[in-house]
Amino acid sequence: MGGGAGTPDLLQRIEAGREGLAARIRGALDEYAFSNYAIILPRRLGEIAREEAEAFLAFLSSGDAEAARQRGRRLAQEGLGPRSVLALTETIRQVGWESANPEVELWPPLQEAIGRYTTALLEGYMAGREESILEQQEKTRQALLRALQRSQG
Amino acid sequence: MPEKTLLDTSVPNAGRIYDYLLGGHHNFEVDRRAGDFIKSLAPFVPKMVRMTRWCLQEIAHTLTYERGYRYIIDFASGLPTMGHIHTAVAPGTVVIYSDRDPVCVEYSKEILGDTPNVYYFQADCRRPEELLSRPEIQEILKNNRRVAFVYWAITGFMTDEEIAHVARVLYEWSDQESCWAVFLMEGNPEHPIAKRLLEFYRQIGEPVYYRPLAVFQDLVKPWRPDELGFRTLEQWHGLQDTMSEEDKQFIAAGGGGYGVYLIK
Repeated sequence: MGGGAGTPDLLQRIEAGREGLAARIRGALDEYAFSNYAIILPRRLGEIAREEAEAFLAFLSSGDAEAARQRGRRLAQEGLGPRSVLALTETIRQVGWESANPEVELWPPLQEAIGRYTTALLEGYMAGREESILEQQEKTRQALLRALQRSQG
Repeated sequence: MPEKTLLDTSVPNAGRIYDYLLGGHHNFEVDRRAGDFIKSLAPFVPKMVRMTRWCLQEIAHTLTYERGYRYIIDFASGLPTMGHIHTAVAPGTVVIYSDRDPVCVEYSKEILGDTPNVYYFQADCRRPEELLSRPEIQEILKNNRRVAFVYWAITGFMTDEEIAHVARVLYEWSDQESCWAVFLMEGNPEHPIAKRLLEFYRQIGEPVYYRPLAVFQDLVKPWRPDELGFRTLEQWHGLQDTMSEEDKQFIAAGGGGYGVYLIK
């Protein structure tokens, strides 16, 4: 398994629980629905939850950190708030632990894989959020300048 | 508020404060400080503005897919970002946005680019006749008067006289099958927190008005609510218990206001 997350049995167990994972992520996102940028409608949160569950499972197989970073960047650009993203990563961690439990010897490699995934996701998210903020600020500045020039013209 | 004041980034601007409260970054430090002050008084406000904004998608769908309007004229539009009206209308619908803030207009034109069938004009929502009489509007509408108007999250910044004037103008200008989607804010202006909020907005030159639903209904006559009637924001979104008991002391229960489709 590319992600190095653990035994095939454990990975199968996690994949079998993909619906439950998506539902847990959805619950976490719902809790912070009012902290996102308003452009994200509540109904989109269910879709994001399913997408995130699939993205995490894909990572466990592939270990593709760059894909996780790009995913994080897209979440930022879509307007997901920081608290939502942190809740999402915490949910993944919690579900991972529950999947390994009570076979605690399975936890270290899974924990390490979850750590790599969430780190990459957050790296991408933070970079995307900074880009988005700076872009909005620069466009606002340019719009102000044009408006000022027009008012003086 | 004169255009010169709207261009002054050293003073808070209600539109930019609203953007900040929505989670956007099309605002300046002075607006964010003002927004933080508002949040400190009324922590519910970020929820309320989001629920208000989220209505636009349903409005766009209802007006075009269900009621067949081909022309929508939105006043005090703010920034046409994702989730705004034009992103959810039926294909071929013409959406005319407007706002009095010149910075908002410039930025919006850039956001929209060459998006077909979407237009943005600088206009004051208090005087809709000025927008409606523009030659460009006549050309866009092709003399069509079966129009859906939208005044969402703005009547709280209008006096009773201004609302009555707008109601009259829109009623007389449009044809019998036109519609007017409106959101009104309701609260208790005598509550200490409400008083501080109202005073704050008065000081930045953009006074806010709370009015009971019955007063609003009288102001917009002869427009009348459709079969859905006046719905709270919670009802629009199928939510419950979004407000604390303290919130309800100075903002109307159910989300702080009512949305309605007014018809003739």
